[in-house]
Amino acid sequence: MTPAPIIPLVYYQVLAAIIFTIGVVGVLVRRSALIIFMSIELMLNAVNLSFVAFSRQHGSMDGHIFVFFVMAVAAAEVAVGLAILVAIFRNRDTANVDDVRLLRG
Amino acid sequence: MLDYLGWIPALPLIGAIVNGLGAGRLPRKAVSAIGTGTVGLAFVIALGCFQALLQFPPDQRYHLEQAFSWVDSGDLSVPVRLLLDPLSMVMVLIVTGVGFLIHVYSTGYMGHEKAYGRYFAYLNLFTFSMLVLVMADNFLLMFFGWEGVGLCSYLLIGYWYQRPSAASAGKKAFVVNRIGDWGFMIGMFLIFVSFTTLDFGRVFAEAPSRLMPGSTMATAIALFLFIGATGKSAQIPLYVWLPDAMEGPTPVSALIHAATMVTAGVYMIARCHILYTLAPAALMVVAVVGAATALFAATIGLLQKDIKRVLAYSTVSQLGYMFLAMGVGAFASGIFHLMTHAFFKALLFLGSGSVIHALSGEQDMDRMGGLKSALPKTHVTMLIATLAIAGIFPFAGFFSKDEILFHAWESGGPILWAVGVIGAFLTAFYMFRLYFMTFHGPSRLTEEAKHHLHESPNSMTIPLMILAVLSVVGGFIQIPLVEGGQRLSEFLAPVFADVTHVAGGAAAAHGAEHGGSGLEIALMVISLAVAAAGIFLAYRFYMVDPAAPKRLAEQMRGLYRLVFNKYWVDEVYNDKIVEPIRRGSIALWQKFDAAVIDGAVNGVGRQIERGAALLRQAQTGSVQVYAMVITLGLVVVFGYLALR
Amino acid sequence: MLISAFLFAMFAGIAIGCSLGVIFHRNPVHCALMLVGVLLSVSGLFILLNASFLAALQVLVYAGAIMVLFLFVLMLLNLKGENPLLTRGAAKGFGILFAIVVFVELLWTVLSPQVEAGSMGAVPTVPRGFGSPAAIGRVLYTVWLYPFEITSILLLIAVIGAVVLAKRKFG
Repeated sequence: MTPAPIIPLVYYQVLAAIIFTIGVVGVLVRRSALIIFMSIELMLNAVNLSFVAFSRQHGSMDGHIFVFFVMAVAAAEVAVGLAILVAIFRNRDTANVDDVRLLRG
Repeated sequence: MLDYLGWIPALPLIGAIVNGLGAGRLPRKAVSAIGTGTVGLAFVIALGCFQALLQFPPDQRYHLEQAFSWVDSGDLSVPVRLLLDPLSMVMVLIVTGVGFLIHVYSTGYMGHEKAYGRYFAYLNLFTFSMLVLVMADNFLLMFFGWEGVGLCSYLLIGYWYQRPSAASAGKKAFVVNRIGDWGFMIGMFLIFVSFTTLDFGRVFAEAPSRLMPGSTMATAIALFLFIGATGKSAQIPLYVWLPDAMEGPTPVSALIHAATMVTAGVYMIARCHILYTLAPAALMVVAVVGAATALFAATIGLLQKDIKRVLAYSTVSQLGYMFLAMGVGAFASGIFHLMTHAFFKALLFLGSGSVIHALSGEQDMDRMGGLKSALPKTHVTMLIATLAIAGIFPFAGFFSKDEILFHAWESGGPILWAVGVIGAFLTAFYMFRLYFMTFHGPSRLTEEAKHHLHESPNSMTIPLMILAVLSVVGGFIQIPLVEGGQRLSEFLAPVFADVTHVAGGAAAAHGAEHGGSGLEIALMVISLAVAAAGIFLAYRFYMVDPAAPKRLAEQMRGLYRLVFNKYWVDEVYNDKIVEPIRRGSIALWQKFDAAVIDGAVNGVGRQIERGAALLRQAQTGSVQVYAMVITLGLVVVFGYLALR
Repeated sequence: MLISAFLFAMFAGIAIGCSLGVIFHRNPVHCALMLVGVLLSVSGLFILLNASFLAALQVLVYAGAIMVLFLFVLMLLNLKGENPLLTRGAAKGFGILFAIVVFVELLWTVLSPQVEAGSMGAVPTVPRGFGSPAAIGRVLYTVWLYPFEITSILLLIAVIGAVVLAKRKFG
């Protein structure tokens, strides 16, 4: 059940860079907080992919462990983030980040 | 018993904490029991330690008890360590013994006070501080006690803080004491610079080798420490606070401003006697200041009308005698007078407190008189104390004062002796003036006071009687001219033994002591005669011919006004020192503080506000802009890593 | 060789396509489904990299739990498509510019000689059981035990925080 990955690992890194960049663009251009969250997930997945690829290259399990922790933190982040989103939506009837400017100095 | 040494200061501290925290909640009986019980127990332990100390051979009567390390920084290492040697033993016995009697007396005298717990908390705290002062084995710990007793003195003078006069008297005592404390601190710094330690044992052991006799450093240390002593022990020029300190409750005047705290300066000089013997000039200053104070304060005491103020000036005068003794190198004699003075002056204050109590707070002697029959116990005890302070044989004051005068003649010369004798004459006169005006002659009481007139309760009269007994027999531990009679000197001898090594003069004085017995008897007779003359004059003036004082005052109008107004010392101090400082401070406040300091602080605040307003523009509140800035940071970090 | 190259190309294509779909689709539900596509294809890539346990986790935690959470919130809020789709202001233009710069820098790094030397050449073989649950567990419960336990506390806090924040009325 371990098909030998003969594809050079640099392709994985390039793919991770592409997905990461798409995530960055999503965070910066979309208005909906929900989509921004999804874009953040994209970025995290790209990083995870990069970790696993490097881990495979060096034959070390540490990258896997890191991915494991990233997943746990992502789960926590999404749970709290979405709860905040729900609370904001209740109070201001919007989930668009450019409508919420409470921090303006 | 020496194992329990630490409990001597600890017990009053516990009492102070319990009474202080429980003030207003504990019942009066509990406060009295804790307040007096802790000091009484400390006295019992002190007696036990005394017994234990006597078991040792004389040159081994030296005990150290380390509690914990207090300061340990660089060269400076100061432990909290208690020292028990004959000198501190005598002081501990006086502080706890007389202190206990005065605590007992206070339960009667202060019985009607509202803030009863506060009073006992302060009094216990004072006892603790005083014990730390006399049992400290280094200068810093001694200074801790020194400041502690000063604080308690301030608190107790201002005990009736609702009275503006009491509050300002407390403040005056505190400020004047600070001037003295400054001297003490400078002296302490100089000691540290010279010895790199503040430990008594090391400083005194190394003093003869490190300081040249008569060198500037030795003189400077001795003089600065003496400034501290003049502040605490009310000597010229810093005596002005003590008469005002009479605003405090009378037992406080007895304990703090007569028997114990004001003797701290005397004790300190006795403790540092090696430093003083290395600085003969400073010793001379001590003797002259002491003699001058003894005479000066006695003259003021002649004309005071307030019974407690007479006693206050008398205390200043008697402290002058102690300093005279220190100054002529008769350290043991000074401590002897310190002890007998503690007995009879505490008794005088407590007796006057009893009189004031009986008259519902009256302190003016013009409104007393004829109290002999109404207050029989107070009268007899007061008479004993008055005879003792006047120096009549065989009361305690006779022995101690004559010993000082003898040493003054021996090592100080006839002038110091003459000043002392004149002071003794004045003392006998003004003390019997007080006695006659209070207890004899026609009654000048107000109708209301007559109505309430009563002898004090047992809790007050019993301490009076005990102190009266001590005032009678206290002198017998040091009988001159009798072989083996000088027990106090012998007991203290190990402490002052090194004086003979250091200074040749004292050794000569020692030799003269035996050869000069005829001289000593002659001096005694003279001072007895002088005291008797003083008493007789007081009798003439205030019993036989009451109009005589007035006539005399008319004849010497200028002198009378000068002395009656206490030489205008307070006014001069006020005009020449306090006022300029006050005016300068106000000028500084209005010009410098308001403009420069406030300007700088407010200016900094305004500038920060302006800068913040500028920076606030960056906070758009748009999450996307924040994300963009984060990405910019990412660009920079990645760029750095990629192009490295 | 051919099969794995084909599989990589397929998963990579799906991942990139779905990623673009996530950020450019107007309907949030479609975006979420696109995200599921990305997550699943990344899971496939994990298998190609011998990370079988992480691939399973990816499906369970991400595609399962986290995506369900997203869809629940979508249903709860009943979001309509954004109009306009993109944010206003300068953030948009500068954002895309910065993203491109980041991409270039990432490529620069990945293709730089030091990194390339390792990842371009023949891929080293790994021992049997690499990336299996047993291998992960062995490391996780020894070397990384404390971080692992602390993570559980983090998740607990997240659960409590989410409940408190999402409650209708505070207090």
